[in-house]
Amino acid sequence: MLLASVLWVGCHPEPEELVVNEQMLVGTWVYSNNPKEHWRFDADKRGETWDLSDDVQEGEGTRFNWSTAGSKLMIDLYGEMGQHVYYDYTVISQSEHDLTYQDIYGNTRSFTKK
Amino acid sequence: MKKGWKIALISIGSLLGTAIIVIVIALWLVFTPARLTSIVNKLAGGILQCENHFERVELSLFKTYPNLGLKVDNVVLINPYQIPSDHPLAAKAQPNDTLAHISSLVVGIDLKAYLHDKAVVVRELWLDGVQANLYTAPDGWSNISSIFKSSDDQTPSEPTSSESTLPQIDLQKITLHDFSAQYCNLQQQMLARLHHAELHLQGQYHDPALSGKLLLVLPHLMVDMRDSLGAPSIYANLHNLSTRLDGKGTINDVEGCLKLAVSKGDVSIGDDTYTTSAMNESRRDLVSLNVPFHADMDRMAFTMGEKTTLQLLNYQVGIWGDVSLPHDQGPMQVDVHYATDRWQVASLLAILPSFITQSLDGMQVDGRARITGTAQGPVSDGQLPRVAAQVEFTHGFFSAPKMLPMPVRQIDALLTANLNLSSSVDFKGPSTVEIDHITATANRSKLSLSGQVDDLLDDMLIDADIQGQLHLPDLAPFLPDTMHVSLAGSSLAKLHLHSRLSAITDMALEDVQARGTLDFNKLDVIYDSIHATSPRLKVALQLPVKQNRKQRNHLIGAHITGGELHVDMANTGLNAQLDDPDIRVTLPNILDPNQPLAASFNIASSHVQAEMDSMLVYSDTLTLRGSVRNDSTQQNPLLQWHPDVDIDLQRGVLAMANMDEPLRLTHFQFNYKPEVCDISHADLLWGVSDYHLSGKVYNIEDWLNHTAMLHGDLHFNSQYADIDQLLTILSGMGTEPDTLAQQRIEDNVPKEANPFIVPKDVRVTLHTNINRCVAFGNDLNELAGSITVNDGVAVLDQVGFTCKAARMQLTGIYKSPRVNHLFTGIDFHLLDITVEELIAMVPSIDTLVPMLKAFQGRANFHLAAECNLNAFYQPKMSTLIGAAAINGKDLVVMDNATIASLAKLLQFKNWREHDNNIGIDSLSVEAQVFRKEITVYPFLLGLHNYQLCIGGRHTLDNLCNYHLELIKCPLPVRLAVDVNGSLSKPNIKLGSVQYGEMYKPEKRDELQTRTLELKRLVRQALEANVR
Repeated sequence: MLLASVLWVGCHPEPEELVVNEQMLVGTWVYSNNPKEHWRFDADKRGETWDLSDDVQEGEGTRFNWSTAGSKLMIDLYGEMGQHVYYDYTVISQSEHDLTYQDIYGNTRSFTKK
Repeated sequence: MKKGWKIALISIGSLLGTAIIVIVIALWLVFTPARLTSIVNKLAGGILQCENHFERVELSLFKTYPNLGLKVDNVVLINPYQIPSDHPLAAKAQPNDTLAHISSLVVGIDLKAYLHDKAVVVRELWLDGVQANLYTAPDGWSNISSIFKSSDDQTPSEPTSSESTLPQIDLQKITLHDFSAQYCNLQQQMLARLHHAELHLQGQYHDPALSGKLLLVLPHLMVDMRDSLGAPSIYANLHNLSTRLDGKGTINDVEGCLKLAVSKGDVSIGDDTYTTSAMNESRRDLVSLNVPFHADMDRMAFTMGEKTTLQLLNYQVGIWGDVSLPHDQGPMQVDVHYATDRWQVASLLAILPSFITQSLDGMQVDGRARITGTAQGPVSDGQLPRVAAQVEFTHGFFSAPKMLPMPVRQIDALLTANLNLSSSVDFKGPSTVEIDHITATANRSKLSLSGQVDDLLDDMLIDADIQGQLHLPDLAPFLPDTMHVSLAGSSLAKLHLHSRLSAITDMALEDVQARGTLDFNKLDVIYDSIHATSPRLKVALQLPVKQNRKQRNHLIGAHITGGELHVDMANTGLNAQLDDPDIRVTLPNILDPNQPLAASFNIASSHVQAEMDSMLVYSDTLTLRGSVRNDSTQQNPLLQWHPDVDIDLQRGVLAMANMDEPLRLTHFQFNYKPEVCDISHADLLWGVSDYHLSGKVYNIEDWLNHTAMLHGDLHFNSQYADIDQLLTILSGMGTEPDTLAQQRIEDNVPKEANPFIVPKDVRVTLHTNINRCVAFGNDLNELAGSITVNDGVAVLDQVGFTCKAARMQLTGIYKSPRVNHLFTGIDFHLLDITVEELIAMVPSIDTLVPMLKAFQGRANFHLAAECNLNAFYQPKMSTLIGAAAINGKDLVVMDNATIASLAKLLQFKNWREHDNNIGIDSLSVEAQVFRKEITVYPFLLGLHNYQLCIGGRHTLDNLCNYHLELIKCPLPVRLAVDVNGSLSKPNIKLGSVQYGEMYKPEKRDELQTRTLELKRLVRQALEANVR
């Protein structure tokens, strides 16, 4: 049984990995579960996230740097006190208007481009 | 015998009567009127050039007895002339060809002299019904000048007996009756007319004796004089003018009396009329003059007797003294005394013409005045006698509502003036007034003045002592309405004034010398929003004040002393009380509109108490020294007054409503200038805390003008400070109302929310050095660092200190870009802290690392986090971002339920077999927070023979995803569990191993490498700020 499992794993072809389209990523995205939560990805690999429901306007939100590697989307949020918060996501679908990524615990977050 | 005498006398009388009748008849027959008329006309024709006519000439014996009378009826002289029609007087003049018409003229001739000496001596002259019409043309021609023929024109005539001796006039009596005349002199622009005048002149002269009487009665006299342009210059229309002159003595020495009276009339000079209807309605004579005199004609000197009076209606002036007319040895000399009655001023003013009293329009003036004095000295061109006048004024009353808000009563004055009225420079001299006293009462205030005025006729030099018992409410109406002043109390004022009048009227205080005192009693002044009271206050004034280098333009000095001064400034909420104040103030010319209001002051008070809004300040001693300069264009008090002041306050107390206990000001000393506020000492005690502040604050006025940032650099030292107590005071300070209000509207901020708004354009750094303090309930030691407010950002910068548990370092940032969007950030390091203290100091650490409380020992803790707050200081969780790191060595795991449950979950056996407290070599936990999610990076935890690696995340919603993996255990088993779901009821199940190779560098995969790299980055970023 163990051997069968190993063989199954070994012969099963790896699904083709999604490569994040950075140009497509650039823009402002709205979180599907909270339409007032915004994420703006800038072409210079910077970005900002804000939540209007908290009376936080664009320009007042949290800044971040972003980068991609294959299907990985790495976000480095940083504050004015020198602290950094890192998130690594796996993009599982991306289009011109929709984006879905997954964290390491398997939780997915979907966004719509504004 | 008797009968014989009787018969003889009758006979003689009859003979004489018969003789006289015969003589009269003979004269009548010889000198018939026709013959006499013919003679006179013939005689006149030889003398007179103008047309003339003598209607009838006859002899008269009885009217002129004992003189022989020659009576002429209807004498007419005709000499025509033309008045230019365009002359201003042409309309008023009544041209008449008749030069003179005399109804009857009687000449009394001394018959005895004629019979004895053949001399015609005229003793009497009677004229009746005289009408004269005299005229002088603009070119000087006169109708009088051509009456008589010149000697060349006279035709020789037959000499007669009467022509051989011209009449010698030795008049004893002249009488004019019903004499009317017009005199028109166009060269002098004058027209005069009189009607029905009577003149009686009697005189006797027997060398050297002389006596005479003159009586002139003019029922009407009109004089109209014009200037060169034809405008009226003098006009008089007088009724019932009578003149009586009696005199006797010698030709060189006459004693007599002149009496002159005018019952009514009108007199104008220029456009000014000197008489009024009130004057003419009086029953008294308009003007009367009574001059008993003595004339010394050799010296041309006249003496007016002491009974000489000049009277206008019932206002009389007595004049007496000597007047000598100019002569070869000298000019005219006057030595005259005068004295008026006591005149009732109101009734005098009532009859005076309006041009004199028009300046008194709207005023009421009354009182009793008496003027006495002298006029002495020569009178010549440009030289007038010196006049001395003593004015005595009593029971005076003056009311001028437009000028004085209240009437002035009980005016009493006694003045003595010495005047030099000479206009020539050569004779000019001092004119002075000595003021014996002037006293007056206005409402309940009394004022008195004495002194001297020099240069009276020029720019008066006043040297006076003024004393007043002032009822202060009486002064309030004198102040401008715009000042909104209310006064109560009283003052005793003593002032000495030395000044030119021009300096006072021109408000040129720099040329005024004054000094004096004002002793206030029960002073109560409300000026605008300032209320000052004092039971007793003394103000000493000096003008000009001694100047020092800083006060070159200061003129007025005031020294204020007293028992107690209380000031309440409603608009600022300031309420202050000074005991035993000693205030010295100097001011520039406050009346000069071109000089800004300024003051220098030196205030010392033994006891000061001030309240402002909810703030109360008390001080044992206060010294306040400096100056202010007003700029009325500014609104802010500091910009309005530009203070340059040294303040020294000792043993004071400051209490505020939001302070649970008062602040004691041990010593507070600072200097404020527009450019810098230099705090030398600010030693404060508050509760058990002590604060010592020093340093400088720059650009305060420029900052208020929005032209520069406010800079401050202050040192803040304390042996013990209660920071929590301090923050309760500082919270909410520095808000800008206008900006705040606008932001509140834009952000829909409820009015209950009142967050601290950090001032813009401000950079103030507070260098702290605190030995011990309590902050957030923790005792801290040796706290040192700086707190900076920089253009809307408050920074608690690199504050390092030690508490009983650790060395601590804190950097905090607070910003208030919007009322409803407040930024807070901290960079917090606790070094060598016990875990127990760490959790006590930072309770939220238990949320980040729930199992931390299971450890005992010392650790280092680093936290950097920020979050925005709303106006109620409630966190906006969407902006929460933070990172924390804990690392400890030689920790001990306590008997803890969480650890126990973990051990049970992972099937630990005998993990605390030898010791209840399990030692841990090291612990290194890194965690991050973003919004509601807390991520704990995998960390190793050694428990006796077991080693765990724990990592995962949980949310503030109480959800979790944790992975626990047994890395090392006595058995060759690799076990991992996943803890998911609710933290209170987690779903625990076996998981796949993930961390097994993480701590084996040669075997770790990409994800593990990345995870460790992120751990390193988080820690590195946090530790980078540790000093």
